Amino acid sequence: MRNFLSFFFSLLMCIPLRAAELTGLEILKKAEDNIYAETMVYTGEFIINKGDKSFVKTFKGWSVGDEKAFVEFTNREDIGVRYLKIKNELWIAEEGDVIKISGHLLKRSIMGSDFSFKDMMESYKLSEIYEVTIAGEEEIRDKICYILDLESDKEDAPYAKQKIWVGKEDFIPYKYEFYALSGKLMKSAEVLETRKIDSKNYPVKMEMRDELRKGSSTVFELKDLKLNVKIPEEIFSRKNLLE
Amino acid sequence: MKHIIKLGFKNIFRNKRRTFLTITAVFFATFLVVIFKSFIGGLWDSTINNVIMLETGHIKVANKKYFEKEKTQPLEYYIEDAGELIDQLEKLKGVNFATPRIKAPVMLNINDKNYYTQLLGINPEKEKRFNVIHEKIVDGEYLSSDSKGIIVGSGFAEKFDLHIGQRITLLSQTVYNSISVKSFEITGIFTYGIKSLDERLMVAPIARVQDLVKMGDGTSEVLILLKDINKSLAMENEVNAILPPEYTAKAWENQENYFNMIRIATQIYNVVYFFFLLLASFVIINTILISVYEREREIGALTALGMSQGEVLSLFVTEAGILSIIGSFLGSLSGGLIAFILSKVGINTLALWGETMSEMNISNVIYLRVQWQTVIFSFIFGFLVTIIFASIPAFKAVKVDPIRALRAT
Amino acid sequence: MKFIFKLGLKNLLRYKERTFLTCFSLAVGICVLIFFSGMLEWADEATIRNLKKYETASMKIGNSEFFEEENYIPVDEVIKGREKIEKILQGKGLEYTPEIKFKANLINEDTGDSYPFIGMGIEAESHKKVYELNEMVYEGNLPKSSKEILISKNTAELLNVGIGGYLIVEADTKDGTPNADAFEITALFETPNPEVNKNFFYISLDGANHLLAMNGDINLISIKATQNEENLSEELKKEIDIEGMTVRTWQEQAKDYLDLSQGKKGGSSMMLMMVFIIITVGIVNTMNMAVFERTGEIGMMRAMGMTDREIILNFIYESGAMGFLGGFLGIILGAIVTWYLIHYGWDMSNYVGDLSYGYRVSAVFRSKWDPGMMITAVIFSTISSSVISIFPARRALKSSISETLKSAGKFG
Repeated sequence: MRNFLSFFFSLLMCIPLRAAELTGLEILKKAEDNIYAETMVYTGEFIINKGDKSFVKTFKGWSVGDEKAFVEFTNREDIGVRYLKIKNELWIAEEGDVIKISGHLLKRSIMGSDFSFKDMMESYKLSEIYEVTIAGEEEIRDKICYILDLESDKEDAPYAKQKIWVGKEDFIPYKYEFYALSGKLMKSAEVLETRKIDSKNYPVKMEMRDELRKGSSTVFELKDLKLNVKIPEEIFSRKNLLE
Repeated sequence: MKHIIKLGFKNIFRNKRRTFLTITAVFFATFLVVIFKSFIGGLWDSTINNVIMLETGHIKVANKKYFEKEKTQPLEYYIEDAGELIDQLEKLKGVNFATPRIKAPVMLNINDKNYYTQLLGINPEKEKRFNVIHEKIVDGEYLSSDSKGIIVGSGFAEKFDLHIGQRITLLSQTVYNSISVKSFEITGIFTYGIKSLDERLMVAPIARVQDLVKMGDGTSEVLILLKDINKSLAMENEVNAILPPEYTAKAWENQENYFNMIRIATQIYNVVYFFFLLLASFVIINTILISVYEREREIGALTALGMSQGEVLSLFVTEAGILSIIGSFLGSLSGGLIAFILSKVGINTLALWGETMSEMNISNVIYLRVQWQTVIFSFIFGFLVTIIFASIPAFKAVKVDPIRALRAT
Repeated sequence: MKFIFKLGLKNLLRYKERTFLTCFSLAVGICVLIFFSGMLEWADEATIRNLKKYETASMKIGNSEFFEEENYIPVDEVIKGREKIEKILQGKGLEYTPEIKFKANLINEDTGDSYPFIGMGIEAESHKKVYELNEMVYEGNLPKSSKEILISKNTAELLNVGIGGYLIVEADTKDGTPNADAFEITALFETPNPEVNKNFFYISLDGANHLLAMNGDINLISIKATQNEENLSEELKKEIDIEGMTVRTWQEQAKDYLDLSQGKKGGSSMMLMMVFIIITVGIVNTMNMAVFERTGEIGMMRAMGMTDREIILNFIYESGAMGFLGGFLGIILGAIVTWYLIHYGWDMSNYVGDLSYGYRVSAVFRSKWDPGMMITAVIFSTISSSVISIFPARRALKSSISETLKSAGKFG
C-alpha cells in the first residue's frame, strides 16, 4: 500500500480528471497519483490519545517522493529525536547516538502512535497489490466519494482487505478502513481537513483510530506545508542525523 | 517425693552405661531437630532469596497502575521524586534500606538485526548490599553511580561478540510514549549463573536509565530491604500508611506471581520436618523402651522391697525426666550453637558430596536459619517425648509379677 | 565357624521377643529412610514436573530455525515432513500432539486493555495424552471448536473478563499480515506453573490455523516419552532425518529452571544425611542394649569353651543378622509406603493454609522409587549393626568377668 503517511510527506500537483466511467483500479491510481509530491517541507504535530492520556508531539520534516524522508521532533519531551529514511532503511538518532531499525520491528508504532514504521516505510503502490472494485458511493463531509474495495491474497500485504473512500470530484482519498483476514475492522483513518496549497486541495489533517482498542487514536496534522521546493541533499545525510 | 528423686539420681549414676545411652539418644535427637529445622529454614531462604534479590525485594513500592500492568513494564506509571520517597522510607524503623529500580525494555541493533532485551537501572552501591551481582563480574568492572558504562551478561556478550570498551546503542521507550536513543560503553561483563539473565540482562546506573526513558528524578520501583524479613507483612502496612494514594507497597509474599510457588514449597518442607520429628521421637522411644524392658528385674526387686506401684512408676518417670532434661538441654543448646555458627559460615551442599558445577550457581551455599523458638521447641519436644514414653511402658512394667521379674535373669 | 552360626541362630530364635523388638526398631528406621528419600526425590522434581506437565512435555519436534529464534516465535518456521514424523512416532507407540505456537495480543474490546501473550493452538484429545493441562481447567474444557479460548485466572483478572466473555486475539499471519478475531472464553485454568499462568492462552488448532492462515502447517509436535528422554531424542533425530527438523528435550528447553533447582538437590542430600545420622544413633543404642543385656550369657559361652574372639564374632553375626532382617523388613515396609504414595498419594490439601484466593492448590504428596536407596539401606543396616555391636561386645567381655563371679556366687 502506498502508505497513508506518504501522502502527507509527498504531494504532487495533479489535474483532476472528470471521470466518465472509471474502473476501481483507475480511481485508485488517480488517488495515488494525486497525493504524490516530488518534494515536501513541512512542520506538523501528532496528538496521540491513549484512553485517558494524551501526548502531543511536534516535528518538522523534509521528504523526496517516498524515497527519502527526514523528520525531527521539536516538542519539549522529544527534542533532538530524528528519523532518517532512505529507500528501505530507517535510522533513528538522538544527540549523536544512532540506531537502525529493520525486520519485523518496523511493525512497531512510531512514538507510540497508531502509525507504524512499516506504514512509513512502504513504497509500493496499492494498485499493484490489491484487486480493486467499486462498492458504491457515500457522502463524507459534504463530499461524494467512490467506495473502493481492495482485496489481496499476496504475501505480506499490509492488510488483507481495505476500503477507501475517494472523492468523486477531486480524487482525494478521504477515508480508509483496514480489515483483518477474519473480516474484523482493525483500523480506520479519516481526513479531517484539507487546505489549498498551490491552488489545489490537499489533506492536511487526518485521524487514525485503532478499532480494536477503544480510546486509542492518533491525529496527524501538517501545519506548514511547502511543495516541490528544492531540498539540499545534505538533509538526508547521516551527518544531519548526528549533528 | 524427695526420696524418689534421691533414689532416681542414685540409679542414674549407678548404671552409667544405660544413662549414657539414654542421654545420647535424647541429645542427638534434639540436636538434630534444631539443625534440621534450621537447615530447612536456610534452604527456604535460599530459594526465596533469589526471587527477593532479583525481583521482589522484601517490599516493593510502585504506582498502583504499574502493579496492575506489571506484565508490560509500563514506564509511564512511575514514582516521582524517588530520592525523597526513599529518604522517607529509610526513616522507618525496621527498614534497612530502600533502593530504586527501573526496568526498561530496550532494543539494539547488531549485525543489522534488531534484538529485544532488558535494561535494568539500579543504584550500584545500594544493590551491593543485597544483590550478589557485584561479585559476579568476570571481565571489566562493576558499576558506580556516576559511571557512564553498562554491564551485560556473559551469554549476551558471547552471542554478539561484545567486549569491554565497545559502544552499543539502545533504543528505548520513554514515559511520554515515545522513543529515545542512547549509546553506552560496555564496562563490565557478569556471569550470574542463571541463563535468562546472562543472556538478556543489561544493567546501568539509574541516572543514565532515567535519562534514557526521560523519567527525570523518578523510578518505576523502590525495593525495600528490611532488618527482619519475617516482619514483611507488618511493615507493608506501615509503609502503605505513609504513601500517597497513587502508590502502594506490596510485601514479597503478596507479589502475585510467586504466591503459588511459595505455598507449595512451604508445605513440602513442613511435611519433611514433621516426619523428621517423628523419626527423632522414635529413636528416643526406642531407647527408653529398651531400658525399661531391661529393668523388669529391678521392678520386681523394688516391689518386693515394699515400694508401691505408684512409687515405682514415679521413680521411673523421674529418672527419665532427669535424663531427658539433661539430654534435651545439652542437645538443643549445642544444636542452636552449631546452627548459629553455620548460619554465618554456611554449608556448601554440593562440595560435601564432591560434585562440581561447571557454572557458578548462587544457591549452593546454604546459611542455616536459627531461631530461638526452634531451640526451645526442641527442648520441650525431647522432654515431652521422653516423659510420655517412659511413663507408658513403666505403667505396664509395674504390673509385672514380681516373682517372674526376679526370675528374668 | 559353623558352630557360631548355629549358636547365633539358636539364640536369635530363643529370644524371639528380643530379636523381634530389635529387628522391628531397625525396620522402622529403614522404612522411614526409604520414605524420606523417596519423598525428597519427588519433591525435588516438583519443578521439573511442572515444566513437563504444562510447558515443555518430554520433548518437542520442530524446525531448528523456530527453536533458534524462539524468543520471537516465528510462525512461518513450520514443520516439514509431518506425515513421516508422525508415522515414526506411532511406530514407537509414543503419545504426541500437534501445536501451533504464536505471539498475540489479547484485547478486551470494551475497555481497550491489551497485553502481549503467547498463544498455543492445540488439539484437545491428543493434548490430554501428552500434557496435564486439562486437569487444571475449571468450568469448561480444553478448546475444541475454532472460536473457543482458554485463559488463566490471572489473565482473566488482568483483562477484566470472565467465562462467557469475549477477547480479541490480534496476531500476524504466517505471511506477516495483521489479523484479529473474537474468541469466546469457555474455560479458565490455573496450573502450579506460574510462567504458564502468566503468559499462555490456548485456542483450538483449527482456530489457530485460521487465525494465522497456516494452511494446515504446524510448528511443533510435543511428545510424552516413556523412556529416557535423551536416548529417545537421539533416536528420533536419527530416524526422522529431515532437513531442518530437530528435537528438543525438556532439559534443553528449560535450562534455566535446572540451574535454579540444582541447589535443592544438595539440600536433599544434606537432609538425607541427617536422617542417616539419627538412624545410626538409633542403631547404636539398640545394639548397645541388645548386647549388654546378654552379658550374663558370656560367662556361659566361656564355660562352653568359646574364645573371646569367637564370642565377639558371635555377637557380630547375631547383630548383623538382625540388621539384615530389620533392614529387609524395613525395605518391604518402605516399598509398601512408597507404592501407596505413588499410586494414591497423600492428599494434604486440608492442611494447606490460606485458600482465600480461591485457587485450587494441588497438595497431594507422592513419592518415587529408589531401588538404589533400598539396596543401600539394607547394606547399611547390616554392616552398621554388626560393626557397631563390636564395641559393646568388647566391653561386655571385660565386665563379664565380674559378672561371672557374681553369677558363680549366685548359683553356687
